[in-house]
Amino acid sequence: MTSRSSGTGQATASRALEDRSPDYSVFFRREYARVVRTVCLVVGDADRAEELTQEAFIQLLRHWKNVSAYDRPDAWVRRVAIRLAARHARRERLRTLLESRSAFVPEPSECPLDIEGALRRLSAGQRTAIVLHYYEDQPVDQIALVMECSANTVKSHLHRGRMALRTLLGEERGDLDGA
Amino acid sequence: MALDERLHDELPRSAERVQPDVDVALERVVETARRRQRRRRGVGVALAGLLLVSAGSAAYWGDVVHPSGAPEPVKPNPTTKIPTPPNPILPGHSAGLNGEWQTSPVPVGDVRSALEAAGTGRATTDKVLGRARRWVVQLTFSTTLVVETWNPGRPIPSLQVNNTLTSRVAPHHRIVVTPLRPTTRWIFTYHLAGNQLHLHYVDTRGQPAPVQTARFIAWTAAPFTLVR
Repeated sequence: MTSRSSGTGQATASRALEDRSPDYSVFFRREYARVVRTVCLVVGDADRAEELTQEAFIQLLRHWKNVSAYDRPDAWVRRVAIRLAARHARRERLRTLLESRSAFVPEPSECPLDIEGALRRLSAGQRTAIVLHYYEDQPVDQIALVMECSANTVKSHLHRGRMALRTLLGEERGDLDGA
Repeated sequence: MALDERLHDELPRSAERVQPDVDVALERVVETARRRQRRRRGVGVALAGLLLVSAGSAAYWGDVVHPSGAPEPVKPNPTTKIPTPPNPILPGHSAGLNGEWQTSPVPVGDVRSALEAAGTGRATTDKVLGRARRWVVQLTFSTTLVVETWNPGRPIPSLQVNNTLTSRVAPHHRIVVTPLRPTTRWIFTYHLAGNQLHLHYVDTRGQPAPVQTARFIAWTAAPFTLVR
């Protein structure tokens, strides 16, 4: 039996890109930076964000024939990237927790954090939901689709994320919970 | 400033500070994809070599294909058990199956019928099918068997990929699918008609999770068409 790639003969990825996917590079140039920025807000590290986004675009290249036929291929790659980012964030947070050997309980910091610093201290789910809702302006049901959870779970992430952010940023309660 | 406003205001500013080099990234993505493609080919060659070298262990499966493509003639001996001579599994034995085979979007009722016909319980069936109304299965026969499934009914299809399987064609038009660490195997009979592949679930050896087996049985819900 031959490998999956041998289905396209000896064509390399770049040749495949030129021969079979002329739109891929156009799409890449249009979407890449936007996806990196979203992912960066979730993982809190620009280099890591680039790595994860590139992984998503590698998967996209592999499935470009199918995905390019969708109405929103950008949504597909964004979704893959965000899931990779959320998974990474979850792993990182777990590692941090294991290293500190204590569960994280947000406390008011003596020196209030900035938004980025505060975001980094949220759980992966809360962080992802907050970024998608406030940065990408996505509605709750769309976020639920991306995060593969129910709308209620997203609402819970948003609510708890906002509560934690208020504590971390040293803000008083008073603003309304949006979603 | 209220938290909501602050988030709306500051997150875009934080994000804008990230200015990736798109050209470098594109080059890296293409290069990595190319490298992985080469590695998959390399692994394929290595596996084929490994299979040739360790052909003796193929007797483990008991139903290895003879190089001629025909089943090894059986010569029963009531007194001495003669082990089947090791037959190398050569690339090309399953040439008829090489490539990517894809079902059309299958109505979930058809999948359910296939599962029930194979004796899968209601709870397992529900667990496998979830809330999907249709789904698509793609099998790529290679040194490994790559299985991709997705629900075409969702606005952004969620692609599930399993590349931890191997497949092998056995006598009597059978396909044996095993995980890379063979603790179990699923056996199908197959029928090739032009560019259409029909699978029929025979049985499972070993003790995989029922849900896992049900996913395999679900492949039998519709014929596959060769797409590449």
